[in-house]
Amino acid sequence: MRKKQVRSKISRGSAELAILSLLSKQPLYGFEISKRIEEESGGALRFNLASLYPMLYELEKRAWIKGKWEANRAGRDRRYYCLTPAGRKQLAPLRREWRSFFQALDCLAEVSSA
Amino acid sequence: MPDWRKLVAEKLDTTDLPPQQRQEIAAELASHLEEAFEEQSARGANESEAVGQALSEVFDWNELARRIRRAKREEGTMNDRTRQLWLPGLASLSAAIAVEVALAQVSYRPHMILRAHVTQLMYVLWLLAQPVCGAVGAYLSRRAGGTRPARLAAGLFPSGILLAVVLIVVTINLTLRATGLGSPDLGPPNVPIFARAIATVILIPGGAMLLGALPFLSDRRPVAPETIRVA
Repeated sequence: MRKKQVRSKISRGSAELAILSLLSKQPLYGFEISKRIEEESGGALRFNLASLYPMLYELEKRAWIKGKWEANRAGRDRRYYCLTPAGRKQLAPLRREWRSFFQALDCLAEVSSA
Repeated sequence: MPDWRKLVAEKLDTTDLPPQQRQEIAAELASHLEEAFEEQSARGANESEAVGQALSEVFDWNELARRIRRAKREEGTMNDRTRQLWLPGLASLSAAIAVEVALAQVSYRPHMILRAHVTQLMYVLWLLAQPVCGAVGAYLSRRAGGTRPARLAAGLFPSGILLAVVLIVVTINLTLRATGLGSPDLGPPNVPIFARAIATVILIPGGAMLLGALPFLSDRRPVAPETIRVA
């Protein structure tokens, strides 16, 4: 149970960082976010609908991102998410946390040279 | 191609969210599925395969609905356990108490007391009302997005409470006997009478409540991708 909690927290934290990082570059809608995460992580990270939207809604509730309906180039309505100033503030400490987490893991398990 | 918005609205149970929010969620998820479908079609999948691939984005719609409800819910409102277990359980318990009080009002009249057949009739009437109590608890729990164990616990809540009370009383009683602190008038425990009381007051009503709760324990299963009709 404890192990599952830790894994769940890691996966949740990494998802938050991935989404906030992407949205810091430009506003994107849900499907685009999932595609970009998959592409930019070389297929290592994959968000399907069921994992992505609860996370987006959670981040929106925290006011770190904001969704807005807009028509895309093809004239279709999409809900675009952009980073809010509060979300931008969260991004730097999140990045620091993850950097130190990986450094600690690297020291412990030599992950980077594995 | 399926009507994605209709399909999402049917599969995703977010009835406790405001209507506008529900529509927005359905529209957003539908547009995601539509795009996933188009991507698969562009890769050469036939319509049926593309629908199946798009729908494979969601393994469990009930779980997705639960997570969305939790994400959308404003801070400060009650938590999932309260909505899915304690409140439905209390509703079930209240219903059971209300039935008992109503029957007591009817049966405890001077001319009716001590008539065995009246007592038996009241017990049967009380028992017949128990499935309704179980159904109330399980239904409310399912409506709040409760898992199957939560729905079962909410449906059997009155019996559970009674069992807990009995266990506490028995433990205290046995402890008092063992330590010699109990009244010397207490005889040895009468196991057959005790077992009969447990059966008539907890186990049989619990079974009746389970019967009432059963229809609400099953999940509305997601439709297998193969069975989705492709227009």
